[in-house]
Amino acid sequence: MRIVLDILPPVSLRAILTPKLALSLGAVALAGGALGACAGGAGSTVEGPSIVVTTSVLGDVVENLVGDQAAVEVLMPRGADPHEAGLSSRQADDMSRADLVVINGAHFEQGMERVIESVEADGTPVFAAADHVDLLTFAEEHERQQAAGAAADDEHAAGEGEGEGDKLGGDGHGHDEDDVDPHLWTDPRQMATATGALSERLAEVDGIDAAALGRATDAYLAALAALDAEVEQALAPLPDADRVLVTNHEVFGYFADRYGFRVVGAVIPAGTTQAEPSSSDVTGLAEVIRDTGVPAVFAETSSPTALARALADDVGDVEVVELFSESLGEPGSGGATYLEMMRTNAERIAEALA
Amino acid sequence: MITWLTDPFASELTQRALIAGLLVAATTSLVGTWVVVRGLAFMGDALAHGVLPGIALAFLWGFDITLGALASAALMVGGINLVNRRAHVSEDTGIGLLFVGMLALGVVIISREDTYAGDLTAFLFGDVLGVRPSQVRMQALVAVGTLVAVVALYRPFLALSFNREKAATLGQRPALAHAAMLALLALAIVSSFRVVGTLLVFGLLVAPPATATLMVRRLPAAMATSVALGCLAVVLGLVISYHQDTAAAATVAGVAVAQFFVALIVRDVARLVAGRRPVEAAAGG
Repeated sequence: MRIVLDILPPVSLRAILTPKLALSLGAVALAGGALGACAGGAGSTVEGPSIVVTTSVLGDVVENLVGDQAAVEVLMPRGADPHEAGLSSRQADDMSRADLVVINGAHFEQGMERVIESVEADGTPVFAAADHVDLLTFAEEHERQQAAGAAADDEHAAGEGEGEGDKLGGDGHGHDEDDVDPHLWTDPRQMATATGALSERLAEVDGIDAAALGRATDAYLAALAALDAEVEQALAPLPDADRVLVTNHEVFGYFADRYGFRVVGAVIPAGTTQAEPSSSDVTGLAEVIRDTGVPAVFAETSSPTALARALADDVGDVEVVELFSESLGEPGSGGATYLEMMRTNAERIAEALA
Repeated sequence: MITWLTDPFASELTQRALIAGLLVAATTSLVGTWVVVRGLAFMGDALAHGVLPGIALAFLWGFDITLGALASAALMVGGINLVNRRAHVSEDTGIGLLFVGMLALGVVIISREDTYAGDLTAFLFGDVLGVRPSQVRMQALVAVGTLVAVVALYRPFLALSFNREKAATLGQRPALAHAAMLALLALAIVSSFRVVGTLLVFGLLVAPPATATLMVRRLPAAMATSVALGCLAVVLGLVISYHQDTAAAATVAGVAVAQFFVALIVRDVARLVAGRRPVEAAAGG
C-alpha cells in the first residue's frame, strides 16, 4: 500500500490527501493489488539463451532445431486465429530481452507488427522466415493456378478459371493482389528453405552448440523432405481435374503451387475471419461450389463454425472439412506438430476430393 | 512486493510504455476534468472515434497521420457547431450525427482499401508497447503544453463551466473559451491515440476525472487527484498485464474504470457508516 501511495508526488498532493481520499486510494490500490497478486509468477526455468517465436508453426520448427538448448517461448496460442493476436506487456518484454525473435514476416503478424518493429529498432535480432524464401504475390499465385488449370485437359475450361479468379482476394484479412502471400509453410519445400536459413541464424546465437544444431537441422530437413514425398503420395490418386480447393480464406496458395491445385477462395466479410458470412457471401460461395463441382469445402480449425453452419443451411449437399491452416492444434487433434498438421491436411484433402 | 512492481519495467521497451502511458494519463486527466465537469464526455467519445476518416485518408494518401486526425477533429467540431446553429437540435444530437457519420465514413474508406484493415485494431486498442522514443518526446511536449494551457485558461474555463451568461457579462468570451477547450480536447485525443488507442484515450479522459470528483470537491484538487489516479491506473494496468499476460491497453483502461467503482463503493459505505451514527445517537438520547 505504502509503495503505491509513494508514487504520488509527495508535496503538492499531501495537502489535498484527506483521510477520505486516502481511504479511497488505498481501496483502489488494494483492489489492483489483489487482482495482480493471484498472478502465477511462472518465470522460465530453462537455462540458456531465450528465443521468442510468434507463430505456433514456427515455434514447432525452432523447438525441433534447438531441442533443450534454449528456452523457446511461442506467443500465439495453438488453435487461435493469429490475426486477432495482441500482446501482453510480459510478452513484449520477453521479446525485447530475447536472444533471437523468430517471426513469419510478410505482415502475417498484423497485431504485433509495431511491437516487433520497436523491438528490432532497440537492437534485438529478429529473424523473419519470409525474408529467406521466394514469396509469391496473390496475383502470381492466381496466374500460375490458372495456367495449371488450362494445362489440365478436362471439363474445367481455362475461361472458367478466369471467372473464378475475379472472386479471389476478398477473403478474411483482405489481401490485395499485389500483396505477398505470407502463408509459406503450406509448402514443405518452402519450409525447408526457411528452416535452413533459420538454422544458420540460430548458430550465431551464443550458447547454442553448433554441432548439435547441425545434427538436429539435418534430421529435420530430412523429415521435411519425407513429408513432401508423403503429401505427394497421399494426393497421388487425385487427377489434375479434381485438384480444386474451395476455402474460406486464402491460406493454401503455396500448397496449391507445390501440388498443382487451384484455390478458389470464397468471400467472407472483410476485416475479420470471425465475422458471420452475409447471405450474399454464402450465395457467392454456393455459386462457386456449383461452378466447380467440388464435393467438399475446406474450413479452418481456427475459425470453422460460421462458414460450416451457413453452408449447411444454404447448400446442403456439400461436405465441410476442417484443415489446419495458420495454427497448430492441441495434442491429439492430428495437428500437434507441423509435420502432423501437413500430413493430416493432405489426408483430409485426398479423402474429401476423391 | 518490490520486484512485483519493478519486474514489469525492467526493459527499455516496457519503460517507454510506462513513460508514454503516464504522459498520456497526465494530459487526458487535465483535460478530462473539464470534460467531466462540463458534461462533454459524449463529445470526447465522438472526437476519439471521429478522427478515423482523417487517419484512414492520411494513411492512404501518405501524409502524416496526426495531421489527418487533427483535420478530422476540426471538421467534426465545425460540423457539430453548424448542426447546432442551423438545425436548433440539442447539442448531443449534433454530436451523435457527426460521430456516426465520421465513424461510418472512416470504416467505409478502410473497407474500400483492404490492406488497412489490420490497423483498425491498433486504432482502437493502440500499441502502448510499440511506442517509439520520438513519440514519447512528442507526448511530453503535449503534456507540458496542456498543463500550461489549463493553468493559463483556468478562470475562463471555470466561468464557462458554471455560468456561461455571467461569464459573458463579466467581459469574458465563453465562445472562445469553449473553442479553446475543444481544441485542447482534440489535441489530447489526437496526440494520444497512436500511443494507446482510442479506447484507452477515452477511458483515461473520463474515468480518472470522474473518480476524482467522487473524492474531492475543489477543481484544482480534482485535477491533481485525477492525474494521480490516471498514473496509478497506468502503472497498475501495466503491472497486471505483465503478471497476468493480458492485453496492455485494455487492462489499463479496465483498471481506470474499476477505480471509479471502487471509489464509489468506498464513498457510499463511508457515508452509510457516517450516516448511522447520528441516528443511533438520536435513538439513544
